[in-house]
Amino acid sequence: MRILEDRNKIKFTAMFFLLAGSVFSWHRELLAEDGKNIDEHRLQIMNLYRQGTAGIPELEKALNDKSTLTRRAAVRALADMGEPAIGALIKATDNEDALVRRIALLELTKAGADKSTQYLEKSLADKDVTIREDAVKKLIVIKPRTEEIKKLMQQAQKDECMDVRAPVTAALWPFQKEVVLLKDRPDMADHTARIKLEQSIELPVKGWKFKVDTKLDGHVRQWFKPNLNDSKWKDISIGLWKDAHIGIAWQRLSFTLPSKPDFTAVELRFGAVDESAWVWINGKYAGHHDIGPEGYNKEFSLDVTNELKWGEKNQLTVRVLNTEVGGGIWKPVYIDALKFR
Amino acid sequence: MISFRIISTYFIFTLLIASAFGTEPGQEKEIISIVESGRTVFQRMEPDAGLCLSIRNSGEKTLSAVSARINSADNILRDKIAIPDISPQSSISVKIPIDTTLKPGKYDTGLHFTGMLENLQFDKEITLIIIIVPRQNKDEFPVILWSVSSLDKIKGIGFTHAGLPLSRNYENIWKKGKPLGLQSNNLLKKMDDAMSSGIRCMINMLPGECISASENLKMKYQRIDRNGGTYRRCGLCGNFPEIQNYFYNVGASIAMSYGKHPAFQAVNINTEVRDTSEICFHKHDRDAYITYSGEDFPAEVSSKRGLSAALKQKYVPVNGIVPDDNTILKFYKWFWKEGDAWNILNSKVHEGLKTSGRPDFWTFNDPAGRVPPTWGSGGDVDAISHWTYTYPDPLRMALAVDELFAMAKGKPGQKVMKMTQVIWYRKQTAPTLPAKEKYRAEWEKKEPDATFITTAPDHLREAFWLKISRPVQGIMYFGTGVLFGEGKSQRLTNPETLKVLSELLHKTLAPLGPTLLQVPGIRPDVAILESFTSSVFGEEATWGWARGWTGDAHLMLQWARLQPEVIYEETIVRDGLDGVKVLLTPNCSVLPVSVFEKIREFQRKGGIIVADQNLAPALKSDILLRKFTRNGPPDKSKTELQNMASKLRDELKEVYTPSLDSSDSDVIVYRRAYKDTDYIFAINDKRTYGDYVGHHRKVMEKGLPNTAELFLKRKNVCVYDLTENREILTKSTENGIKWNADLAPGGGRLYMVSSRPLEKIIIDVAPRKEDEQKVRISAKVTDKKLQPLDAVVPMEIKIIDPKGKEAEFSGYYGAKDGIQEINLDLAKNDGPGTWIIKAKELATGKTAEAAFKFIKK
Ligand SMILES: [Zn+2]
Repeated sequence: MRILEDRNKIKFTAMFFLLAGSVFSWHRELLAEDGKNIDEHRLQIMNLYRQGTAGIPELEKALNDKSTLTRRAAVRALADMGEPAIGALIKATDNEDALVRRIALLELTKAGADKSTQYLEKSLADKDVTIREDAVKKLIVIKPRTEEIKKLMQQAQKDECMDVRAPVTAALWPFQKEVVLLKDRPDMADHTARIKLEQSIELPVKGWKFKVDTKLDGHVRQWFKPNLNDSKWKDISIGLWKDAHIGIAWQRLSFTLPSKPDFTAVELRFGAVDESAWVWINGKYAGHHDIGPEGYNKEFSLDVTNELKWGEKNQLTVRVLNTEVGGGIWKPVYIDALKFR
Repeated sequence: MISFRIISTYFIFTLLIASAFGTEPGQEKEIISIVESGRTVFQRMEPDAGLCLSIRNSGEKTLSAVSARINSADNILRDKIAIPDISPQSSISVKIPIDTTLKPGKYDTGLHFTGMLENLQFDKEITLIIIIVPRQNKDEFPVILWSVSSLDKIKGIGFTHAGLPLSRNYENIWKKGKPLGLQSNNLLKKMDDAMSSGIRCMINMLPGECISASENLKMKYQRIDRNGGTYRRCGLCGNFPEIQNYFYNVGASIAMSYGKHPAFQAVNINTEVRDTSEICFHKHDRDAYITYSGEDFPAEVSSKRGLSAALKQKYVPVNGIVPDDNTILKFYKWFWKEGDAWNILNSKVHEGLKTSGRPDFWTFNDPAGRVPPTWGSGGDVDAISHWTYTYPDPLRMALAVDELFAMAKGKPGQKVMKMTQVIWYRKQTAPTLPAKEKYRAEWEKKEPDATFITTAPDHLREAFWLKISRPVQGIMYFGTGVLFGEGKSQRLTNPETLKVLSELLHKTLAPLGPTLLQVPGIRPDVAILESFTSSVFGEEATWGWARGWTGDAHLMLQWARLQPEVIYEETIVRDGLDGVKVLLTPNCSVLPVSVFEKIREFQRKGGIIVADQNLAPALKSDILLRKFTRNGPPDKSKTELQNMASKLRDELKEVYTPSLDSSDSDVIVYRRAYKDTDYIFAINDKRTYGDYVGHHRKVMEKGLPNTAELFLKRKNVCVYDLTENREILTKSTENGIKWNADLAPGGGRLYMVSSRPLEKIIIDVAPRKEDEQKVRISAKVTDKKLQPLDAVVPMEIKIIDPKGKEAEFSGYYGAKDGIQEINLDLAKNDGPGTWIIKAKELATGKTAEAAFKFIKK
């Protein structure tokens, strides 16, 4: 590298000082480490894996070692052995240390493992949230989704912790609508230039209602129903980016539309919702925008040609998921009447 | 009889000669004009220094027998040079040499021209001031202000470098396709002004702007998406060969034009461009990838941010371990090193600039952190830098700088700098103006519509200590508007901040900076892995913002007083994890086989893996820390993370305790070392909500005084507080030493820990025999056996000339290996008499004095 050679040759530099070797010198051992004995014992236990199955009894004993880190080292070695260590791993599922239980349960609930459903159930009943979360991650990808699995998922949906409930709720999400925008319709493929925006109505920024869905069951309680009594919900305005909530919250608005214009299709267009949104119009599911946190500033539209009532009062409900700062509908919402000409 | 009229603008002298030949008064015709091309300030010993003049003869007769002579009061500047004849209607350029061996000072100078226009003689003297400035102290710690306001003002604050505005119009270079001289007298004059104020200059260079500004060029050269469409916000495609040449040519043009000016020392290349990077689908981009990998772009890639979580399953097995040549991984490795071309374009500008051949000139790229965790951001620049806002926790500063060191690991020799934004986004610190006047802070009453406000003084102080605790080779600040009240959207809302900054620069950095530049970092035994592979497969990377779980995990380690090193996958593959005892792996759900194997080997040798619940299932952690999400005001998050920190320390306790520690989780400690001398930083993070922005509950901006007991696992050592120049009394413990540290709000201290006590400071002065104008000074800091310490010791040296004035090279130094040498070059206009050298070491404040006599031959 040319620059470096230059620099090494010339000492008179304003900014860079030449140091022998790198900017970082190697870590110099200070005084002898504490806990050396525990560490040595832990290493001995870890090395038992080299003995193969012969090491199992010793490892099983180490599951109750006074050092937590040694116990965890033992269960790791057992999990790496797999099948021959099953008995010891089953015992480990009752260990007082949560991480020991977790490592054992993860091994016992591996896809295709014998009696894995039984250990998924045991995992779901564990007091440690991470273990229950592990079980949920596995449950939601199991195919086919048998009655037994569904039952476990429904159980998980009632979990006290949101990190456990959220993935199951998403997996069991009952609302589906295939949204095809006018421009994306196959019959429009060569004619998108002929789609004109006939009329655009901006929905009010004020007069919205807001409620955080801590139990993640707003959709089960049908918070999207037009006649829901939301008078006790918080009053908010949309259109500003602010710290609103982390997790799921619902936003509702009633608005009146003018008489029916001439259109081919009507689309509900959101300037941006931070981060994901599920939308109902007049109690009917209209679709969602859910591409992860990156969706927070992306405009999206949903076809609502058949859901809106012109010349009447309408009700819009938006369920918003936000995982990082901000949250909610923070840019204007429009109803676009499109006409194919 | 010839009459003269001299027009002197700021930088040009025009000599108007009104000929007497039949010209009415008021109708003078310009016959001879002499334009001085900018520089009147020179650095001592600057080679080839001279006043550049352009002389034009606009008359009808030849100008002959021309000469120019410099006269100065003591007649010591070099004199009289002959100038060739100047034909009618033509110009010549001449350079009148300046003797820069003279002592620094202001020289009132007359520039005397004589010549003949046919048989008429002209004879004129112009007066000007020539300034010779002292040479720069090479130990000075660079402190850069991003953009300049008043030069005098910023020197007074303690900055060493200022960003100068440079025209960013390089259209001609593009058109000509080669480097061009751009010389702007205006800019050279600004550099002169800066140099005479003791300030050196930095320039921001963005060659791409000029291309993007032209609609036609932009259409041709911007990045295109998979469908051939344009991205909403994206920069140039750097894989066009002509774009690469152009970037080189702009660098070379700047070098050609300004490269010789000693004040011009640094260029920030292509700032912020990485934000506008996107995957480009031109044929040449795809061909480049085919050349690299033998394959076309994978069908699924469309965003620089990696694959969506939905597509992850297709490429990542359940155990989270992918082959190193995984199709997607391979693509993104290429993209971030070469494919997006910004590293290449930075290198091109750098290469062009380096044609000036100046050893004291450096290039850098800021913010270099806008990439996933990978080596090589910034390309071949001499230094990488990154800016950070201090809210909500000033400790965030540390992650961004630790990431830069991880990035630079792939380029041995590349240096790291660090910048603080002095601006605060109001919407993130004090967003809503309180409705009732009585609830408003003072500044909210005065500046209710500010968009950017001034960083709180205690935050600035803490951020400063964090930056300098790392072995950075320069620091930088942005925010002239919030410091000086000169902005529109930036408002000066806290005048204390500037006072604090000035105090830090004068009282801390000036004396200790030269030492800090020379003390390397250590490799800590706690590392935090930022996984490139995981970021490719849907996990959040920090992108230099020091946010998210990785940002909070790094904060947590600091509050746990477990000095962390940020480590990248490439470093693990190359260097392994030897020396590391604890490895924290936030967001590491996908790892390549090579990294997985090294980590497993590390764990099997006894290393401790601390992981969140999403660690690639093929690895099993020793300690689990659940991924943390901020939910609530910053005091709540801080408490939660400090609880996590103490839980981690507890779990580690049986096998690991840090060798440097503090008794308070709000007192952060950091160690560097030179040979067997340790340099220990203690930094106070104890904060609460104050009356500046605290009422918004967004930032705890008010620092509180704090006391802690510090512990170091070393025995039989002496501890010196370099911030107060005194030895510290320590208490011996079973396995080390302890001492107390009192810390100001947001404040810090720097201790030097030496195995041998510092007993003496000695000065030797040795005039060299062959030439007594050259004098070597050597100041030594020694133990009682007069052996120099194996340390870099901060030292102040004053060189006082016979007239009692501080001479060149007076200033602060870091005496490496206990010895500081200075070579004086006495000038021919230095008066005879006794010179006095005073030295003071800043560990205990001991002083020494020496003198020598200068007898003029
Ligand atoms: Zn391209």
